[in-house]
Amino acid sequence: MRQRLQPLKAACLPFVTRALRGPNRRRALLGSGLLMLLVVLMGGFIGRSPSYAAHDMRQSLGLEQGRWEREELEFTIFVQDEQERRELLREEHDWNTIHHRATEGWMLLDTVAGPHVIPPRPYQELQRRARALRNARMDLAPPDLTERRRYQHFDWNRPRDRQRLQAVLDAELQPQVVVYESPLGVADTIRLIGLTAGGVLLLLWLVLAPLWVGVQLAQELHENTLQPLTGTALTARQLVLGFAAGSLAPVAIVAAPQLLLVLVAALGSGRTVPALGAVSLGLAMGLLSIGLCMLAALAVGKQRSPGLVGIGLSALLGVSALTGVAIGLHVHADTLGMVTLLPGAGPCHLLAEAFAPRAHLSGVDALALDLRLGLAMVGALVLAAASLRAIERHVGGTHREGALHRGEAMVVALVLGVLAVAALPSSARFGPAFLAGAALALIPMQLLLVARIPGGDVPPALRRIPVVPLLREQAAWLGGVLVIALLAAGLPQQFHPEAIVGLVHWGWAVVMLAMITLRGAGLPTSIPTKVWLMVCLGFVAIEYVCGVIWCLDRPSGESLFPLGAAHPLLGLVHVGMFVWIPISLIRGLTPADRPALDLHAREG
Amino acid sequence: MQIEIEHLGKTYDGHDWAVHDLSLEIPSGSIFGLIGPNGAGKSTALRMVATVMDPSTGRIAYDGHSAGEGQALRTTELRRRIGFLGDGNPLYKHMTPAEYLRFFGQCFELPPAKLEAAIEQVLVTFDLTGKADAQAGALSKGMRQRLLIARCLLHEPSLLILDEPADGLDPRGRSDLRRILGRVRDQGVTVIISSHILRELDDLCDQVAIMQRGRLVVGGQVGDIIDRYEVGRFVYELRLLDGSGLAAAQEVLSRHRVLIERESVADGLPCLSIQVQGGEAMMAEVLSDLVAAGVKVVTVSRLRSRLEDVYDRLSEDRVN
Repeated sequence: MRQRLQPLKAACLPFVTRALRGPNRRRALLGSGLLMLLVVLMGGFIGRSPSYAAHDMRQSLGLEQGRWEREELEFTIFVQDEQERRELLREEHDWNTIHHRATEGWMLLDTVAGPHVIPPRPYQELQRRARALRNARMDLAPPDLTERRRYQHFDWNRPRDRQRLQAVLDAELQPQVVVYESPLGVADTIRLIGLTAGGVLLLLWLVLAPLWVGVQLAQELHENTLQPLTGTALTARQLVLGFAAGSLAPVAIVAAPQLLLVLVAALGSGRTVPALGAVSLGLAMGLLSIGLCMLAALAVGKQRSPGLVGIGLSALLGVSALTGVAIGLHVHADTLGMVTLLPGAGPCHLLAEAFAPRAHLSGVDALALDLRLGLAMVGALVLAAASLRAIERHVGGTHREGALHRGEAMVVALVLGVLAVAALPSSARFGPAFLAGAALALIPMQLLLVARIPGGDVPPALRRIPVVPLLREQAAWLGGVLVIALLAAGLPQQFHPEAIVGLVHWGWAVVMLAMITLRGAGLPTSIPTKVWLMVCLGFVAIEYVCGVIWCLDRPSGESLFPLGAAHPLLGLVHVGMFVWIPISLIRGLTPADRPALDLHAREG
Repeated sequence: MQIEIEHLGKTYDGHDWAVHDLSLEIPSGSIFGLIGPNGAGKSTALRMVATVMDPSTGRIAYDGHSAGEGQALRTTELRRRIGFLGDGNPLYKHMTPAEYLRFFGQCFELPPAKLEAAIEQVLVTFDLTGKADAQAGALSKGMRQRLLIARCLLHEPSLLILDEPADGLDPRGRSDLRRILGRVRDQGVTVIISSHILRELDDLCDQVAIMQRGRLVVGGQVGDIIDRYEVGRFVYELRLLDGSGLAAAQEVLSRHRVLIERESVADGLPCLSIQVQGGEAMMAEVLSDLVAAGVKVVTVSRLRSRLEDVYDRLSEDRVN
């Protein structure tokens, strides 16, 4: 084991030393300590502070009812401090706050005490007490009693209404004036500290760490400082791992105390399993995000400035994280599958499960959710490993057969397929939503296709792309994914012969999309070419929708090309594009032939 | 380290050769110069020798062993014995020279104590001790170049490969570079250096190879090459006794196929550098006429060709 870790240690040492040289280490440690203090204070503030801000946060987390709601249920008046309490008690005018609350209580008694109100048998004693107290305090009857009676409502079967009534009776129409305090105890506060630390940890690991690594790599590429490192004693894999470790070192220093807080809070609150699940899944998703950001930096880092790369990555990571948090904190049956796709959703859900279970909606199939969380973890690790392999080949210049080899690409495609199918709602069946989901699943397939384009030290302008083999490969991936999807969602209920037309349209769209990807990513493109590819992409979308319509329904119109229904001329354009787009893409992907050199002739 | 390059070739696209059929033998402990215009294939060849690029054809043997997949020598092991400075290698501007050297030393997995000793030594060797704690971005161009070369020597390689190391250096920097390379050679390190500034190489290198369009044009000992190509160029220096004969000499020379390259004064005597079209027989005739015209010639000496002259002759219009 030690021998196996030695190369990793050797790889990390230079980069970590570089990242933490001079004052950098002190800055990271100071930032780490300050952030830890801030998190503890923040958690303590939310848990214990009587301020309106802290109360609102507790309320939004579902840890406390609203103040006005508590006042009503407990027949109480909350004040911020003793001075406010004294002032309230000193109010002498007839319509003061206490009197107002007492009148509201009297109105409640009046509502339940009416001669025509017949409560269920267990609550008849409550009604008797209410009648007695109402009659005893007729002085509290408001002048506009008849008018106000029209707006009163009481339901004996609602626990909340009965609780209100009980509180009024117990207080004998004398509302208590109480200095407001947080209802949460020390244990709840520790959980809140854990929740805050977990949130910061996920922010650091899922957003800042990938962003930082991506920007650093983009900078190395932009300034050509990575190239000399390829001539050192480090292998390409060591270089990539070491580089990532070095970039992550300051983030790790800042994140370590947060992890400690999460674990301590989890132990303290007895919610270790979901907390460890949140940390593990967050780690796996973070690794995947880091890998993807490094790939993005490798793709554009030479041409674009690190600042631009950073802006792009932060936008993508920010949107992904915010959506993940929104879905993760409020998982329900229709969105639970998204935990497999959004890096932040699963860890956020588990974090809420660990530290704020009351805020978490648990009305979902727990087994289905746990299964998807497990799939997300395995999927993230497989995809992260594939990303590492692709980055390693890029950095080492050994991607002559593509950044991923054929077998690796197939595994990645199947994992993507499983994740995409798992992301569908449990109730999903073959239909429009299913086919729209399949369209979205084509996007990562195109990225996978890009990873199969031969690279190496061949300048892009001189590249030759094996179009047919790559199209065959993509067909195999899609076939595998289709089998997974049909196993999960079931076969279409009925099949009609017109669906063949739909399949032709659909197949055309998929093949053209792959060719557009190969042309756009594999060879240099001028501005007119880019515009043309965008036009082609538009027609691919039209054809995809057309295919879906023909597959699902029997269109009433007889035109095979739906644009023709709008205008005959548009129909002609549609037919023309249907024929011309494949021709132009094939021509673009196969430059004029020149005889290849026989590299082995001399060696022979 | 002795290098044997056999039929080395590199094609990026399978059609055109960046380097084609390059065969060289570089003795251990020598300085080998690779000369050629931009695009001749020097950098590609050096990158292949440095193992950072795979050849399309041919092989390179290091002390008799090839490296790479399926070979006796592992690439990473070989790289520990090679110091490579590629063309246009930048520095990390915010690192000090000591930090930069430490970073690369760790990339070569040097033990900590040995690394610190090596850093101290190269800082002294390359006259960077005073700037050890200054940021690399604040160093002069010459200092930055010295730091880059120092980085290549930190792990005590037995082969040093420098691609255009004198590029952008002022005369003082070039002089320092020559001094350093001489010292490195004295330590038994084989040095391969590429340059298009030939004056930097002709009295520094033991052997040179001139490349054109990816192919080797000529290679061997510098003296041998100059001797081999000298015959085509006859430049003589005439020293006259006094300035009064200068006009007469010019008059005589104008009657022959002679080009006066330069007029100068050496040790108080007027000198004429002349290029004679027609070989030594023509020069004998010119000299006879000069004497007949009363010009007092003190000495006539033939000027030795330089590497640059050979290169000019070979290049002609074949610049890539």
